Amino acid sequence: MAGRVPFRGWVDRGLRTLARELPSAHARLAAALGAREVRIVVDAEEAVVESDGHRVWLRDEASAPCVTLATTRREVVVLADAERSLVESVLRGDTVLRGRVADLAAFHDGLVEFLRGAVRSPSFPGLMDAFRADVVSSDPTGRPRSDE
Amino acid sequence: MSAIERAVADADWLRRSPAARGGDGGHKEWWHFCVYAPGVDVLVNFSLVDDVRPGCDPAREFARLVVLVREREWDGDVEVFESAEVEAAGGGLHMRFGDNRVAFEGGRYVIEVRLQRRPIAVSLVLAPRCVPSLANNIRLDPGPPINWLVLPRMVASGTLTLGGRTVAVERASAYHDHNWGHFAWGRDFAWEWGYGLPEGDDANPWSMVFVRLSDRAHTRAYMQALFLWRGALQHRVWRAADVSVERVGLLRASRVFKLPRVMSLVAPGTVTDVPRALVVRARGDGDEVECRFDAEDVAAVVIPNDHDPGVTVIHEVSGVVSVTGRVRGEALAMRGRAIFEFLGA
Repeated sequence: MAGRVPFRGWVDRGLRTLARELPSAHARLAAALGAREVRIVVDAEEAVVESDGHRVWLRDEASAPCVTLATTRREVVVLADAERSLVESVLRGDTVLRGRVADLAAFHDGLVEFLRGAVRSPSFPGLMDAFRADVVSSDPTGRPRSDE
Repeated sequence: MSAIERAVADADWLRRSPAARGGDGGHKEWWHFCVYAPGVDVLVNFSLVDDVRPGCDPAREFARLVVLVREREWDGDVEVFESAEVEAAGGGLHMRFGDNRVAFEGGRYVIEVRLQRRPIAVSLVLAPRCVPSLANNIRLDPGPPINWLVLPRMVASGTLTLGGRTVAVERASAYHDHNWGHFAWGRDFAWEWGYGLPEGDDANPWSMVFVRLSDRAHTRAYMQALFLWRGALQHRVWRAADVSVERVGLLRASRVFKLPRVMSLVAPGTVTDVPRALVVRARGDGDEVECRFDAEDVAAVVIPNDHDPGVTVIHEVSGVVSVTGRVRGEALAMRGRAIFEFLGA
C-alpha cells in the first residue's frame, strides 16, 4: 500500500539533499557507482538512480539497469532501525538484489557512501522520521517490527 | 555538605564550549554514569558536542542522551535534542535535555530519564563515596588536550522501568566520569578505560580506575595509569612504565548491539578488536596490583568521524573485574561488574 510519502520523491529529496549539504559524500557515491543505472522497487513504487561516475540523478524510467533492488517500505524502516541487517534481509528474501557480482559490489559501495553522507546530513533525520511515521501509521500493527 | 560532596561540587561543573562566545569550535563534553543493579547494567551519558560539519553554524551543538541497558540482551537508544530543549549552563552542575535531566544537588547526583522510543526509564539518586580525581591537559596526539574527572565509587538508589517492569535499585554500585576538551572523532587516538569497585561489599574500601590512551593501532601509548582509592581518598597512582597491559584473545560476539541503530547500516558486522580479557599490572616501590577484566558482552556507540567518511566506535563492554595486590603493606582484593570502554576505528 502506497503511503503519503512517495518513495520516488523521497529518494529524489535524499539525493538532492546530499548534493546540497554534503557534496563530497555525493561525489563519493557517484564515484562508487561509476557509470551505472540502478532500479529500486519498493512495494509498487519505482525509483531509478543513474550515475556517470561524477554525479547521481533520478531517471524518469528504467533504461538498462544493471542492478535491481526490490523490498518494501516496511523493510526500509526495519533496516534503518537495525531490526535486522541488510545481509539478513537478503537471506530472508525480504530484500531481493539482482545483478552481476561486480555491479552488486559497486551498488553496495555506493549505498555505503550514501549512508555515510546521510548520517552526517542535518536534514536526513527529518526525512527519515517522515518516512518512518508514514510507514508506522499505515501498518496495522502500529510499528514496523519484524515478524519474528 | 560533606568534604566529598564539596569536592565534587567544586570540580564537576560544566566547562561548556567557547564556540558560542566566538571561541574555538569542536568542543566535546559529557557526563557519564554506570550503575549495577541486580541483574541489570545501566549506562547513561549526557553529552554536548559542537557541530563541526561544513557549512553549519559553529556555535550550534548536539545535545545527545545515550542510554544502554543490559539484562540478558542490550537495549537502549540515542536521543538528540534541539537547543530550545537544552539547559546546561557553564559552571553549573545540571543538564536538562527535554524532559530528561541530570544534576548534582544536595550532595547527590540525580538522574531522571525516560526514552521516547524505547520502554526504558531511569530514576536514580547516586551518592558519592570517594573524592573525584581530576586530570587536566592530557595530550592525545599533536592536537589539543582532553580533560577528565573520574569518580569511581557511588551508591545508587531508585528505580528502573524496563519494558513495563519496575526494578527497585537499592544501594547499587555506581561509577561516574566527566570528559571535556577539543578533540575530533577520527584523530589518531584510541582509549581503553575501565574501573573496578566491589559489588555488594560496602565494607571493602578499594576502588580503582584504569586508563590507557594510545594511537589507533595500539602501537604507541600516549599515557597510561592506574588509580587506586582506599575509602574516600586516592591512595596510589601508577603511571607510564609502572603499568603493563596485556590484551588476551578477542571477544567473539555473535551480535553487537549498536547505537544509533541506523549506524548498523554504515558499520555492519560483529568483528571488533575488543579483547576477551584485559590484564593490567602495576608495580613500583614495593607495591603491586593486578586487575583482570573478563569481557562478557559488547554494545557499540558508532560515531561519524568529524573530518573523514569513517566512523569511531566506542565499545561498551560489560564484564567482571577482579583486582588483587598489596599496597603499602596491605593486601587488597575486590570483584565486581564493570563496563570497560574500548574506543577504536
